[in-house]
Amino acid sequence: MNGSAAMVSVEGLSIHFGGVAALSDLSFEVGEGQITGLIGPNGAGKTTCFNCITGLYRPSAGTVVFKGQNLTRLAPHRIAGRRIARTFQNLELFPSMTALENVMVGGANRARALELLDYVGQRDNAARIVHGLPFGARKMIEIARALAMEPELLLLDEPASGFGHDAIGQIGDTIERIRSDFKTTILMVEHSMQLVMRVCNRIIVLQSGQKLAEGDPAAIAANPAVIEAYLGS
Amino acid sequence: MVRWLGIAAFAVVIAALPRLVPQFVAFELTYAAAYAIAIVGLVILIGRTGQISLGHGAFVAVGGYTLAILVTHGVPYGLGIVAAALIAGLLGVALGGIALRLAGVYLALATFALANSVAPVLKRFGSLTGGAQGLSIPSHSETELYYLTWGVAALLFALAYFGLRSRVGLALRALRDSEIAAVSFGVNPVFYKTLAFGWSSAYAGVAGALLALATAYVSPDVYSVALSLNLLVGAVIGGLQLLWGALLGGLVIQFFPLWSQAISPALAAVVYGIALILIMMFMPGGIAGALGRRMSFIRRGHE
Ligand SMILES: Nc1ncnc2c1ncn2[C@@H]1O[C@H](COP(=O)(O)OP(=O)(O)OP(=O)(O)O)[C@@H](O)[C@H]1O
Ligand SMILES: [Mg+2]
Repeated sequence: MNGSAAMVSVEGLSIHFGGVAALSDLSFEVGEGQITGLIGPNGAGKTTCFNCITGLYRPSAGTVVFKGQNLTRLAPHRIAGRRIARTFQNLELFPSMTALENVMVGGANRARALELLDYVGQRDNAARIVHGLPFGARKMIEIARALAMEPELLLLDEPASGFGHDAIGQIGDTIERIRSDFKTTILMVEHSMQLVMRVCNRIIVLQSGQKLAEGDPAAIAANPAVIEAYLGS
Repeated sequence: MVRWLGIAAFAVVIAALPRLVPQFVAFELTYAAAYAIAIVGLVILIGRTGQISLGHGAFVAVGGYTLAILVTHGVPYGLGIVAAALIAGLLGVALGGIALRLAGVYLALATFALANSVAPVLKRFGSLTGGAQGLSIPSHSETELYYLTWGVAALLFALAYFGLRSRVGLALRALRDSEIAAVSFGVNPVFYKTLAFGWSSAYAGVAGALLALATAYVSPDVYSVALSLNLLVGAVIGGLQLLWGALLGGLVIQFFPLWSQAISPALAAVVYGIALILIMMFMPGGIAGALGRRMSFIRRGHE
């Protein structure tokens, strides 16, 4: 893995909903300090994979090992206690709380929470109830809340969705800045190929719950199976 | 600033009232304060965690009987109140663990069954509880009871206010707003929901102890299902999202039935019911919610 140790090892992960196999026998590793991309067409199982890592879903088979410890049977709040933080594809802020309170739930005190809101450009919204804020603001507040956990592993589910094309460069900057400022490992689901190709050290491609390909961005961009999957969908 | 002045003014009024109003009114206000304490418990439970309880009267009963049994065995009533809080609180923790496995209407049904089981259980253990006769408690002066009850209410309101603003309160709100996000950020749902149930039950227990002292008597029939429902009505009418709504709730369930009685003795229940329906129709956030909006409207108007 480019010389870095695996921080997360996913081994043989399987889960199904009724007849739908959302993940089948999925294995991959996430290297410490890297930005790993998890991509694939709609319904490929990317969010399901996040939910298995964070304990929201219980896989029917397979294990998730984080820094040598098996997380598979732990409750979500205990997994969070290992400093694994995430954002949600469809935003899961606490709607009745202010931006500041949202970030404080992540574990920061008031002063630190203000710093983090400042870091993501949302300090002006600190005292506002998040319910009525624009989508982009709420997305950044979710990132601040995740950073409040001082995460060792940060899971980002489609950080660029909902932003215009010209914002993608900025989001890429933010993600790279987070990696170096917080010395955190990032696993990121994203549909924007431009963003994925730019920030990821390594990419894992899912299709119908299975791993289709894995490699560095150049190899993935040149992989015929990947091109087929993306052109086909 | 305005808020603290308001609270100070309110405290002065409450302290002076026994000298200004007839004694029986002061005595009714003692009851209102005790109800308000139980309703604060419901505001914590329902307003802050979204768990519904139709059975809070059961914890009021536990508090009342704990006090009555201890006091008739020579324990000072101060200790009796503390014991009422502890025993009702512990029972709440135990039942909260069960409540966790139930959601929504099932939780409501289970707590309703709890409220229904109080009288039979009390009658069954007659050697301790005095059976259907109940227990008599030595009486105290009405002024003493007034200041005791309002003093305890002030203390418990303050505790709830600061408790809900602490990390604990934040965790409870997080769980109510989005359980998925809350657990993903390290909030232990079992711990906090059980804690909320225990906290709220302890408040009901204290209310029960104070009501028992005021009445100088406990008997199974006092703790009917109607008491549980009345407390819930008080919480909803006062306003579930604002703590001081509990105070209004306590006043409503103490005084509205009396006023209804005065308006039409024959149709008292109907008048009471209509008043409640009107409040719910025109003030969906309870009285406190409606007043809160009105006040922020006035404040904005001045800017
Ligand atoms: N809780 C659930 N109940 C039932 N089916 C589910 C559930 N969660 C996921 N699925 C199914 O699992 C499959 C994978 O869904 P998932 O959300 O992981 O896809 P995804 O790769 O994140 O897609 P997208 O890019 O659209 O977000 C889909 O068929 C989805 O319908
Ligand atoms: Mg998804």
